This record gives sequence, C-alpha cells and structure tokens, in this order.
Amino acid sequence: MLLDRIVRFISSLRLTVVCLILAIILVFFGTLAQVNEGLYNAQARWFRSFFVWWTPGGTDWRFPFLPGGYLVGTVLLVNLIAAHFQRFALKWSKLGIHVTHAGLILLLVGQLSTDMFSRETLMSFNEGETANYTVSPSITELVFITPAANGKGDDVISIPQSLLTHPGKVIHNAKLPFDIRVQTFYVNAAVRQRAPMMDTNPPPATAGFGPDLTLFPQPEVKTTDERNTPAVILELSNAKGSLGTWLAYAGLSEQEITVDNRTWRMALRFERHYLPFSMKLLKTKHEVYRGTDIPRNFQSRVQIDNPVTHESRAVDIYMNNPLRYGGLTFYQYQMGRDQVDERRGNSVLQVVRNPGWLTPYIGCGLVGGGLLIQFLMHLVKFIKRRRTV
Amino acid sequence: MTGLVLSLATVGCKREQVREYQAPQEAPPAPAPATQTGQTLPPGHPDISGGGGNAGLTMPAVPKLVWKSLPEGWVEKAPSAMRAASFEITNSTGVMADVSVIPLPIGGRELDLVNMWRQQVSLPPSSDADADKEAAAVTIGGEKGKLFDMASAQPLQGSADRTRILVAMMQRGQLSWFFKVTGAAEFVEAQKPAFVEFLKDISFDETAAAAPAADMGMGMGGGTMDMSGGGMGTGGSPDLPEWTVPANWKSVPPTSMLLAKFDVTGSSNAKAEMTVSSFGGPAGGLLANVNRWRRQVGLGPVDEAGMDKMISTIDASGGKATLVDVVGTDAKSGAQTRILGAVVPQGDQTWFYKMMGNPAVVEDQKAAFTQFVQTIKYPHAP
Repeated sequence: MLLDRIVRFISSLRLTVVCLILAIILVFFGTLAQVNEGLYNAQARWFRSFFVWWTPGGTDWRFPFLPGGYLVGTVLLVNLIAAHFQRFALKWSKLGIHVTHAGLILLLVGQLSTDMFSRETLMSFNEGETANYTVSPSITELVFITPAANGKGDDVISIPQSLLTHPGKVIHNAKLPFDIRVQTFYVNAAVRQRAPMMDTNPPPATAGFGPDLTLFPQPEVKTTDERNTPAVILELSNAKGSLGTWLAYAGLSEQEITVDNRTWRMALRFERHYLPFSMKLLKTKHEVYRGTDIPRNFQSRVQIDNPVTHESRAVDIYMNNPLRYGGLTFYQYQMGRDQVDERRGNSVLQVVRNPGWLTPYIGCGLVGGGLLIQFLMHLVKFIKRRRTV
Repeated sequence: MTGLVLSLATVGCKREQVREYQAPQEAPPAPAPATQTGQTLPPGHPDISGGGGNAGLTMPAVPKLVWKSLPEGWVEKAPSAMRAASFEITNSTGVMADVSVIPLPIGGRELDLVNMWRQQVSLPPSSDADADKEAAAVTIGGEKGKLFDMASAQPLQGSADRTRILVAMMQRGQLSWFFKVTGAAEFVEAQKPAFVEFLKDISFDETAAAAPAADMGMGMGGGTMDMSGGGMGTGGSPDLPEWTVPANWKSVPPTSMLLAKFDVTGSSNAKAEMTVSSFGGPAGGLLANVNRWRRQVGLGPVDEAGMDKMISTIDASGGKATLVDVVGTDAKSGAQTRILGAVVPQGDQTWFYKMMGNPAVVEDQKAAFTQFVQTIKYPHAP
C-alpha cells in the first residue's frame, strides 16, 4: 500500500511539473547570480550541486533553500523512468511515446555525463611553437617533476588544487622522497621582489624563491576575463626533518629541491593535460572590419603531427569552424601578439573534451522522431476513421 | 539506470587523487619576460621585475629636506639607498624606532600602498573606502598630506612587541614623499605627536636639489608597488672609479642598472661577460647576492655556513673584496656557465663585479679579474 503510494508519487505528472518549475526558477536565479558570483562559481553553486545553500550574514550556518541542478535533474530522470515503466505497454500504438521518452532520458543522462566528463582547457602558443598539452583556465596543480629513470621524459607527480586548500593537510606519495604539509592556500595572490627598505616582515617561505619575494593575498576574481593566480605555502619534510617552507605560486617557474642526490622541480601551475599528438602554430590571421577594432576573423593554421597514426597535416581553425580531432574540439578563442617578440602572432585555442557531445543531437532526434511517429499514427487513424464514416 | 547515474558520479569524483604520469621532456621554453631571479611569468601576468617593464622611469630632481630642529631622542643617520633622510629614535631603555624619508617618482594606487604597509604588520587588505577612512589629515611642510597608522595585532615573527607603522605621504610636484616610522607599537605611538610636529616643521629646499638619479629601475607592476631590482635599493649613479681595463676586454654600452660592461672573448670564440654595478647600502647583504648569482647558474640557495665555504677575501685598494666563484648551468642558454664575482663595500655603496660565461674563458681571466678588482681606485676613498 505504502509502496504503491510512493511509486504513484514518484511517477506522478505533478512531480514532473514541480521539477520543471524548480528548474525554471534555478535557471532564472542562477543566471542572475552570475553577475555577482562569476560564471564558474554560480554554475557550481546553482547547477552543479544537490542543494543551493544560503549562509546568513555574520554566521557560519548553512541552510539549503533550493534544490540544486543535480537534484532536480536526478528527480526528473527518476520520475520519467518510473512513469515510463508504470504506464509501459508494449504496443505499436505507443511507439512514438516510447521513442520520445527514450530521447528525453538520453538528453538528461547526456547532460549529466557532459557535466561530469567534459573538460574545457586552453592551448596557447606563438607562431612557430609546438604544443602537446592543454592547460586548465582556472584550476591549478602542484607538480613535482624529475627525469624518468628509463630516460624517456619526466616523471610527474601531480597534486590537484582541491587537496591544497586545507591547511594542515599532509600529502604523502610513495614516489616522493618527502611529505608535503599544506600551511596556507591563497585563491589569488600577487608576488614581487622584496624591497629591503619597505619589507620588514618575514618572507613568505624559508626556501627556494620564497626568501626573495613578498606575497600579497588578493581578493578572488570572479569575472571570466580575469584569472586568479593561486599561491600555496608548503612545508616539505622527510625522516631527517624539515626541508623548509616553500612558496609555490602560479606565477613562478619551477624551483629545485634536491633530496638524496635526486633533484625534483616543483611548480604550482595551471593543470596540464597531455595529448598523444602535437600541434604547431604555423600562421595566425587577425582581421578586423576596416576602420574599426571589431574582429572579423581570427584564424590559426596549425600542423597536426600524430606519431601513432603517422598523420601530419595542416588545418585551419577559425571562428565558427572548430577542428574536431582525437576526441577533442579546438575552437579559435583569442588572438594577440607574443609579449616579447611583437612580430610573432599568438593564438589561444579553447579545447573541449566532451565524450557526450553527440547525445543532445541523438536525444533531440529521438524526441522529434517520437513526436512525429505519434502524430502520424494519430493522423492515419483519424483519416481512416473519416473514410469509414 | 540508477546504476548508470551512480557510476557516472563515481567516475566524476576521481579528480581528487594525486596523478602520476610520464610526460615528454619539455622543449626549451619560448622566451618570456623573466624576473631578475630567473623566474618566468605566465602570459598575461603583470611584470613583477624591478628593472624590467618600467625601466627608464627617470627620477626627477629631489629637493633637499630641511628641518629646524629634531624631536628629542631623534638622531640623524647617513641616508642610504633610496632614502632622502634617515633617523633613529632611541629612548632611555634602548627601545628603537626607524624613521625613513623616501621620495619616489610615482603616484601609485594609494590602496596598494596602504595594503602593502598593512601586510607588513600582518593586517588584512583594506578596501578603497576603508583606506580613505584610515587616513588622517596631516600637514607636511605647509602642504596637505595623509597619515596612516597601523599596528599588528600580535608580535611579528622575530620580535617581542607588536609592530606599528606610521606613514605620512604627500604628492609634491612629480614626487611622492613617504615619511615612515617603524618600531615597537607603544613606542611608536608615543612618538606620534613628535612625528606630526616634525612633519609640520620641515621644508623643501629646491635650490639644493640633488642631481637626478640615472635610472631607478622602478615602476608600478600591475597595480602593485614594485620598487626594487633583485632585492636591492639603488642609490643613483655614483661616480665611476678609476680602473685599468685589461687589453682583451672590450667595453660595450651597459644596460640599465649597470655602470660598465665588457665582452671577453677566449679561444675558439667562447665568450664571457664582465659587468660592474653599484648599489646603495648593503644591497640586500652578501648572502642574498651570492644566492642570486647561484640561481643565475641554476644552483639552489645556500645558508651562511654554506656561503662561507665558497667565498674568499682578498685585499683591494678600497678595503676588502669578497670573491665568489660558482659553476652551473645558465638557465637561458643551457650551457655550462661560471660566475666569478667580487663584492666590495665602499662607504655607503656596495660595488659588484661579475664575470659570467664560458668556464674556460673565466678561468683564463681569473688573474686579470682579480687584478682589476684589486687595483680599482674609488672616488672619495680614504
């Protein structure tokens, strides 16, 4: 009896309508929130969450005041599947409904998979340069690099930013000859050389570049055209004791740490994703509408070299004409000049990995096809009935 | 279906783990702006180097600071580095505070300056509105200025008392003037009325303006105040000493921050470069400079004890010279590189001689280098 009621509730059309209304409210307020919270923060808080939390001013309390995008999506999916099975009848006359439902399910699952598996990164290079990795626009990683024992490249130990944000956390990795203890993480910071006349406070760290620098915590930036430059202060230690405190900052290059005759290079850098192929920027074209600074066309000619498929070819990537290659989509994103050598063009490609990119097309096709089948069936039935009358 | 959703969720959460992978060895990086310690900034990052981005910013003539009398306990010290005047305040129990007067050819965002001082006493950054509220009006030599007063909540590392900073600032012509008192919180607070009186009392003597300094190598980097190159304050261009240049050293025009530069070519066209620079005060100290040179050849820093093992002292005409000899790899060229350096303190200046380049050439030139450093005659030397 109780189970019946639960099943009826889960599969009810009323629940569908409530979920759709909540989705509309979420989209409306989540879009407005992007003004103050920034694109990525608002997406995470309103859509990539099970609840939208609210903290009253001056307290540490958190109250859920709206279901988040994940919860609404999951309930809608369960509701749809439950309704489908409860009213399921294997009849030709219901074919259109089944196909439409399958399309809707595919849309919801596809959206969830896109959310979880898709990755947006950037590839930035100057004319004549070759790139074999892309970088995250916002997430950093703490890396320790040492030449590989087999002589082929470097061994890289990458610690994600999410593990660096908890003060006091100790990170241990069997391959590293030291433990890492997080002291302070700064979402955004600036550094400059220490000025002996002005900087009387202690430097941010005792080893590496730290003693020569002064660190300024900066407020987190939230707009999409600015980027946070995180910093973290770490203490490295091994069985013999502390190896000093180190400042890792996304604006610095690698610092060397030698332990037991092996040298490791450490850096906090924007997360890298290596590709099984390389791309060389051959030429950039930057056209604007005559007499204005309004861009008309950004175009990058790149040479793809794939040692696995022995492919080597040049392609053009320009606005509205992305390159789909190796499971990735390369969009023309920004274009400028090299900071050092003004004669060289610089191009930034947005690289999107989205294994579920076909699901919206198939889902929409199924929904459209299902509705068409259902409509045609009704039409045929209607015409037949008219003829018999 | 629920299984599918759960498996999606599980896979989606795997980002939290430490990744281990093998990456191809990196190609030599494309040239990018490097700071003086050899650190490379990402594209689009504001320049943080001292003499880099805004080098060439010229110091306008600095008028002489004149005062009728000094408050009790204030003792004038020889101004060093960037300071136009310098004082020490001591009370009967030996508590000390430092007073500096620094003119700078910059306007700068006031908030950045305030936040820089706040950070020095471990206070959180302030907002524009708050910074305005924190400022008190003060008269500096008959003109309007602002006074900021900030103190640390706790004693700072290495000191027993809380630290207080009083800074009075004013814009005068092309110069911003900063009058700063730093010391133990209570002592500095007690000195505040005397400091305010002193500010009223001072005047600027334009007729005794100091000659413009050559190139202070200072600038505003991305809204952040940036005022030193390589951890050193520059004291303007001192007079060049007298020296005898070895025959095979070819003089070339020096770049900013350098007073002289020579190209040295050895056998099979291997090269080294000899540079001379001079900075006010101890210029960050010997250890900082030895470590700076070590970094230039890709070596890690050493501590005092480590440094003592790699330096030697020789007699020079102006006193003692400290010789530093390091061999490593030049980060820019990847070639084996040796630095032979000499540091010679002379009055309120420190002179730096550096020969950097191919190890064989440097070895060949070692005797000539040592003789060059030893026989230099400094102006105003005793």
